[in-house]
Order: sequence, then C-alpha cells, then structure tokens
Amino acid sequence: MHAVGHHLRTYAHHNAVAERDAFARSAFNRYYYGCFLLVRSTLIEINVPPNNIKHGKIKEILEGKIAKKLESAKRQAQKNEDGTLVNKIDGGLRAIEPLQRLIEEARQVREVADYKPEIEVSFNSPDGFSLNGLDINSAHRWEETVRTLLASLKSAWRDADD
Amino acid sequence: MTDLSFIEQLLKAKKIRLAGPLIQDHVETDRFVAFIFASSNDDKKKGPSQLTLSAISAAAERQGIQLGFVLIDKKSEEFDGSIKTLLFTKFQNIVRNSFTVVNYKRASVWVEPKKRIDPEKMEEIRKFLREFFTLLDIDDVSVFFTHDEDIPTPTVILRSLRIIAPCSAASLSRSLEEKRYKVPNEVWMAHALDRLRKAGSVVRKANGQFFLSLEGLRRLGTEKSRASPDIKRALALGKKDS
Repeated sequence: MHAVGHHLRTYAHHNAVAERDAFARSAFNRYYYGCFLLVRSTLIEINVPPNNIKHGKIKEILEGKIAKKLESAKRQAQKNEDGTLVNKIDGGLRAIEPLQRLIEEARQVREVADYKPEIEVSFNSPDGFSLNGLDINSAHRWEETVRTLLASLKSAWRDADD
Repeated sequence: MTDLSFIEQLLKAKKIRLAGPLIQDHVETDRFVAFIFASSNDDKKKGPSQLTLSAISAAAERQGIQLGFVLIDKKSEEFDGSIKTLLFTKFQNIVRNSFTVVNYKRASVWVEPKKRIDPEKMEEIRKFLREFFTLLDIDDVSVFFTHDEDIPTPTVILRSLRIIAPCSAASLSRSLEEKRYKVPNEVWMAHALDRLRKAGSVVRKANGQFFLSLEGLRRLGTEKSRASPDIKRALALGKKDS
C-alpha cells in the first residue's frame, strides 16, 4: 500500500494535471491504509481477534489489554531487578502513545481525502502538495515510523507474553 | 450559534491557528476534527499544550460536541529528521531507522538496527544520544532498540524454565530459541543459570537439571487467566508425558 501511495503521489505531482487532485487525495488514502494494515497484522500476531480491529478502535485496543499486560510484565521485571527487560517493555509501552496518535491522525486525513472533496489539495510547494495543511511528505513518513514503533511493541509483547 | 462557529470561537480565544477548514464527521455530525499547527507564528512561543487542547475539547463536549485534533507539527518532524541524520551519519552500517519523541524535558528514541548489535555498541549509541540531548538541556533520555532476535533476560529465562522444568541447560536453550531468542552458546546459558541459582531463584539437581525455587516462583508471580503460566506448565507436562 505504501508503494501504491508513493506511486500516486509521484503521478499526481508530475503528470496528472487534469485529475491531479484525485490522484493526490488517493495517495493520502493509500498511505493511511499502508499503516493501518501494518498495525492490524501486528495486533493479529499478538492475538487480538481480527474482528475487533476496526478503524477508529486502535487507541482503545492499544491502551486497553495490551498496555495492561505490558504494565504487569514491567512490574514483574522490576521485582526481578531485570533492567534490560524493564527497558524493553518500557520501549513498547512508550510506543503506544505516538503510535495511536499517528494512526488516528492519519485516519482523519484519510477521511478528509475520501469524504471532503470540497477541501482541495493544495499544490503550493515545489516538492509536493498538502491536504488541509498536512504535507504529503509527512504522510510518506508515517509508514517507517509505524514500523519502528510496532517493532518495539512486538518485541516487548513477546517478552511479556512468553 | 452553529457548532462550527462555536468551535472556531473556542480556538480563536486560545489563539490556536487552524491549518485548514474544520472537519465535520460525515456520519456522526456532532463530531469535529480541527487540523491545527502545533507551533505559533512566532517561533519563540510554544504551541498549544495538551492541557489547553483537553480544556477546549471539554468545553466543546459541554455543548454536546466531540472535538478532536490533528497536529501539524513541522518542528517535531524536523527534529526527528535531524536525529535520524545524526545516527545515519555516525552509525551508518548499524542504524536502519529511528524515531524520536520529545515531551518537555523527556526524550524517547527508538532505534531500529540493520542487524543484531552487541551491548557495547548499544551503549555507544545511548551515550551518543544522551550527550546530544544534554546540549539541548534534556537529561531524561530513553533509548530503545528494536530487535527481532533478543538475548533472553533473567526474567525470560525464569519464565521459560517454569514451563518446562525440570530440564537441562541445553533443553532450556532450545526452548528459548523456539521463541526466537538468541542464546549465544551453552557456556553463556550455564553462566546465566548459575547467576540465577546464586540469587536463589533456581535450583540445580544432582543430575544437572534445573527447576525454579519457591523464591523464583514467588518472584514471577502468576495470573488467573487462560494465559496463566500454570496452565501453560500443565499443558507442557502433558506434552512431555505423551
């Protein structure tokens, strides 16, 4: 999805003069879906039932059962004076806030892209475009940030759940 | 007064700059999202705090309006980009990606290595980042490494041992490796178990097998759920006997 988003972005910027607004807003859409699917597959890996993973519910899932389990594992590691494990679980716990914020903000941008055609894409910068103030370069970076934060979360979860 | 103009007034009163039009949810029409700039026009002034945004959301809620925010935070993005560049330059064969969050005087940096790195190198990266943040007057710096394969920590060893005990050091290593932990070698495992034995968490039988002491069990604790370690142990014992 990220690659598709990148293709649409490039196409919108360089080629599609007639319908560049549509290509540009589709790029935001695909960048969001790339992130959402990454989060979804990680949540499934850590045993969240697929049917529970809905757009707009990611915050609830991350801050609910997952955070609680990590907090409990962190307390156990602290009791064992296991500093390495405390640090690793802390990494997972601290990843939750920026992760849920990023995915929620990306979802809001995608809502604008898909449902608010009256808000036009602004092609005012030399290296890209923006939608409601959010630059396409920022959307392009969502995926690598989500990947890094999810890796930390997964690693912490494995140690909490083994 | 319409909901839209009410929100606009709330934001204006707190001098918050909108990055674009207010967004009304297409299904739940009492829900709105404001795309706002995280910093003010004047670079010297800080942008809206989380407290300010929460107060605005609460004021909107009292009018039956759900209000969320999308923060356009160029400064944070640039700062994150600078840390990435620093790490890529200094540790070019080691760091694949990083992500930095700074909240007031507290920095969290996630570092994704290209390959497994040894503890000395991790410490070097930590030291490098701490020194960098000290220049910015930030002393509370946490650095997290994201590995696919990790060396098991004492707690992880105890947890695995609890499930399959009594067992030899070699069986324990295999069990950990099945969970994608990296056990450096048998000598490393023997030392790790010896340290846990001296700490009173593990007992070594005359035949060389290990099991958890009462103290070890107490330290790990348990939980009442389907994922309880007691259930896992019962299942592992059943598997062993069959």
